[in-house]
Amino acid sequence: MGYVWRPRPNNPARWEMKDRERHWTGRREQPDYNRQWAEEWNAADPGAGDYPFSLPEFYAVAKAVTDRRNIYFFYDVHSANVGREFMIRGLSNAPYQAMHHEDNDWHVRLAAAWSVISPGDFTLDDYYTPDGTGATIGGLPPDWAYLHQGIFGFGGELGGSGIDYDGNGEVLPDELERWHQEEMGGRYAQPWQPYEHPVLGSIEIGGPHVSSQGQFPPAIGSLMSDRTDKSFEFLMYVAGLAPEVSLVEVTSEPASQGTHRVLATVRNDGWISTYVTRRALEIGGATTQAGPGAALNIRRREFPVVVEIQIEGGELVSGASSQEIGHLLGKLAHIRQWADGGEEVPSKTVEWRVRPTGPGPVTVRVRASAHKAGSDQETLTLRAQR
Amino acid sequence: MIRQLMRDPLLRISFLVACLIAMVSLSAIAPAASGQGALDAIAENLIDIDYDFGRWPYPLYAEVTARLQELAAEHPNIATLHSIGKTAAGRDLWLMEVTNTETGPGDNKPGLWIDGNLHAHESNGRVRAMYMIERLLATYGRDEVVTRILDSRVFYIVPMFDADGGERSLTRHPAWPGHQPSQHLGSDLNGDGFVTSMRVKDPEGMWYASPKDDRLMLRLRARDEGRWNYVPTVYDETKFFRSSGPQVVGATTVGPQARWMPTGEDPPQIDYLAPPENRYSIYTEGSSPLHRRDDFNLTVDGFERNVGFDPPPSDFNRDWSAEWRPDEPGGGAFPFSLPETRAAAKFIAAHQNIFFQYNMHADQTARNYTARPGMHHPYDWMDPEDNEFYNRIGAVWSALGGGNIIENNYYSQEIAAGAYTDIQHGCEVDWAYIGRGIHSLMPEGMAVGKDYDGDRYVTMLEILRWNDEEKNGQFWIPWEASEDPTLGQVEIGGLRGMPPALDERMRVEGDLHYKFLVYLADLSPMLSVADLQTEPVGDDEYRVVATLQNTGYLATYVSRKALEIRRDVPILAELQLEGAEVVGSRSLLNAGHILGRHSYIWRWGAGADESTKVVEWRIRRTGDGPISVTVAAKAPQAGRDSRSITLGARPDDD
Repeated sequence: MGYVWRPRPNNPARWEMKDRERHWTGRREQPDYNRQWAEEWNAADPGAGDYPFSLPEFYAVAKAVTDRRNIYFFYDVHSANVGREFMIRGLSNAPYQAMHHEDNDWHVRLAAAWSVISPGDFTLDDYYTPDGTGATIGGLPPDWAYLHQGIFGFGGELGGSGIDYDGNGEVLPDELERWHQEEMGGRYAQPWQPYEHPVLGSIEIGGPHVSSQGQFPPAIGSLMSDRTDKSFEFLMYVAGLAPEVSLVEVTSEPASQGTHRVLATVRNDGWISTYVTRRALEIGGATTQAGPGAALNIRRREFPVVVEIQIEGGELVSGASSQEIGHLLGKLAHIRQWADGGEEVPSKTVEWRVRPTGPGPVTVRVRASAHKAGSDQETLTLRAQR
Repeated sequence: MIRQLMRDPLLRISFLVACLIAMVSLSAIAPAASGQGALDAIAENLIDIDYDFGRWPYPLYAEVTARLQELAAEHPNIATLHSIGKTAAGRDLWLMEVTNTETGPGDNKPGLWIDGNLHAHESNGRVRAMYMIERLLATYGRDEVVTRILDSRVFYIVPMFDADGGERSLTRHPAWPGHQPSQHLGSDLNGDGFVTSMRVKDPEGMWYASPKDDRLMLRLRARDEGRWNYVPTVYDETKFFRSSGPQVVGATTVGPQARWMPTGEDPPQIDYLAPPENRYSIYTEGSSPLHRRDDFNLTVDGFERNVGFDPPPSDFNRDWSAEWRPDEPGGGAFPFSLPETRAAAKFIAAHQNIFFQYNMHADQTARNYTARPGMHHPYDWMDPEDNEFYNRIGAVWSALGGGNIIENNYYSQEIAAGAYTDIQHGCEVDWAYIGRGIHSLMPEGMAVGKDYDGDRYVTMLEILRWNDEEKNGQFWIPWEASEDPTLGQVEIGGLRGMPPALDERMRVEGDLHYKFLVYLADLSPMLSVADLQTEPVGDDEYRVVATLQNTGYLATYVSRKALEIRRDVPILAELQLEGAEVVGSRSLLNAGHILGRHSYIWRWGAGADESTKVVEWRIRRTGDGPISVTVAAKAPQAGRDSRSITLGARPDDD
């Protein structure tokens, strides 16, 4: 609505939304729900709307996402109605190397997983579209998630309808038409019929029904079932990559003056680091710099691991009961940094000294948590020293 | 005053150039309708009103609300009060629409958006905005210029943008009866009822006492070379600053980092002022030593707002989407995360007639200055036609205020000092221009004090003198020895609730903004149907030719940016007929744009001539009676006009 379509300059066989219809009737254009996100929002983009998040739906989503610190992955499903499925990744307006290499690694691995789950399907960003029109899109959700929120974002584009009769992983136009005729009884399009138009003269009217937006249904039947299965499998795979704080062990040993030395080793068992993206660190990093930001602070995008201890029958002699221990690398980052000769370790140990306050046993409960990495806890009973 | 201005060679040249540009500019915009020169309009002939500029503390929300409602009731034809949304605390966000509704609704006229008190502690913005409303309403019908402006333009004025923060800031102020000292970062250590500042001798400290007045603390700054040097800052008593920001050391007020702007003279050699033994560290009274004030601090009430998403809270002037960045201090969760900015954006987007946005801050400057859009870009980033517009209104601003400054962040004095910091993204002034294609300015207010030497700067020493001579020293107290439980021997003193602006300085400022805004309103595009002709072209058929004209200063597209981002709204010309029908075209035509005087002059140099536009129809008689022909033209930012003509009845064949 409100768009003008015209052939692409470098590929006249394809059409593009080039210019909004001039709102000469005074009507404001309808925003495109996929151009409303703030990152690189461009007032000149068709469908940009009045301003970022001007639609109540998207304001609500943005608020929900920012209110929930545990969200590490943002996924929105589209329906491009193409012959096969594909995934949209960031960055839409910059080459891959503009992203930190650790974050790019993650995207590459995820793309590989998607290609395995849905054989041969690809992942791309707008910057590397096959057409290479040079046109960029602002206000896309994967970019917003990554660049503004510091979490990973993907957009899934569902394939169109039809049946992959030859099993090559792609539904070509002739297969679509065969499916349409054989399975759907030709209900979604009309054959071309001659007609006398009052202005244009002799024409033919036909093709896909306007009521279906000029398209067949996005996907139905067995193809939809197959694609839904793959999307489900992919999202389950992504869910399995989450950072996961784990208390590897909680131990104690006698120390001087009847105290106990309590040690808790915390590890990230997840694939992703507890900071999730390097971008999150980059945004939060400004808080450590001198200047106005240092004191005014900047909204945090990364939330470090916190280790806490609760004691029954004893008291803390040394070590804070709640300690922020920074971040723990995930497997992906650890492998990458290990290869680079990095020294960061995937686990950290926290230490306390505890003194019994009575003759009974001392029970310590240690809990490790991070907003995007869950929590784990262990309970340990300390033996009284003779 | 002019004589005093002329004493300074640099100012003299600047002033003369500014006047010259202003006169050229103003002569180009003399409104045709009234014959009244705009120079008169802004400089001399506007009728003034009595107004209490000495009141402190400023009125709270309830009083301002009551006054707005009272004004709307007293002036039903020219003042309409709207609530455009709710604040985070549930207060109504008031907007006063000022226009003569008898000449048409505001939506049909070119509009200016004005907001004040966007930052909570910059509460003099509410006074300036209220003064604007009061003076417009009080002089409508008596003042020829104001009457003409309100007949043809509309002002949308939001006096209390951060109504919640403003309320908190004012009621926490030490001057407010029954106030409780802020316990946010400190405590009232010496029991005098105020949380002020502590200073402690410290060889590693960042501050030193002015040798001219021991109460005044000046700050050291680091240079890029890594060595310490002593650069005069806003806190300096010299005239080598265009002060931006803060009262010096106060518990409830503070501002951005100190800045220094060379004025063409060598900076004073003041290294000797602060050998290590004379240096201090400064803390909020009764605060933790962790809160040593090495830099910006967080005691500003205006930034304490928490809208519930996630601390830290958003800055109301970092929440707009243009060039918004997540790592911007105060940038918040996402653009327009605040209900107030969101309500404003919604209102502005829904009112396509707004061509200018003006947001009044109060950065406590030594003299008035205003920021222009493109905060992080050199001026040549802007289309030359738009840039020229800012040059021209900047010259008028400078002329009105006797050398006042217009600049953007990129060209701030920090560039000159080699210390530019890439901050202040997501500002309202940039959103208006980049996101909406309308022109915008962000003026900062003047500090308190008195210009005793008449050089148009109020230095810190002049503020101190004003405090002592006219305010009984209540706002700035001397340092007195005390004991801090952590730091030991300290001195407590410094600023104590200095108001943003008061008295004569506030009057000068209010008057200045009023005149400037009336001037800006006069620059809107203004559409007219200048001529309407018909001629027979056959049996019962006629050609209708309408000449549309833009008599305003700005083009109907307002800015080149608007064209670039396709936010311009072109002229619609509609043919309304009785006794005839249109042949071969629609009755409603897109007439595109017409240049205003500004762009016409600009392009005239290149040989362009687009001052008018001709729209044409062909009509056919449908009966024997006379034909009524009306051409109505409209463009949201240029207003509406129409012209009619009647053709005689069909001649009798006999």
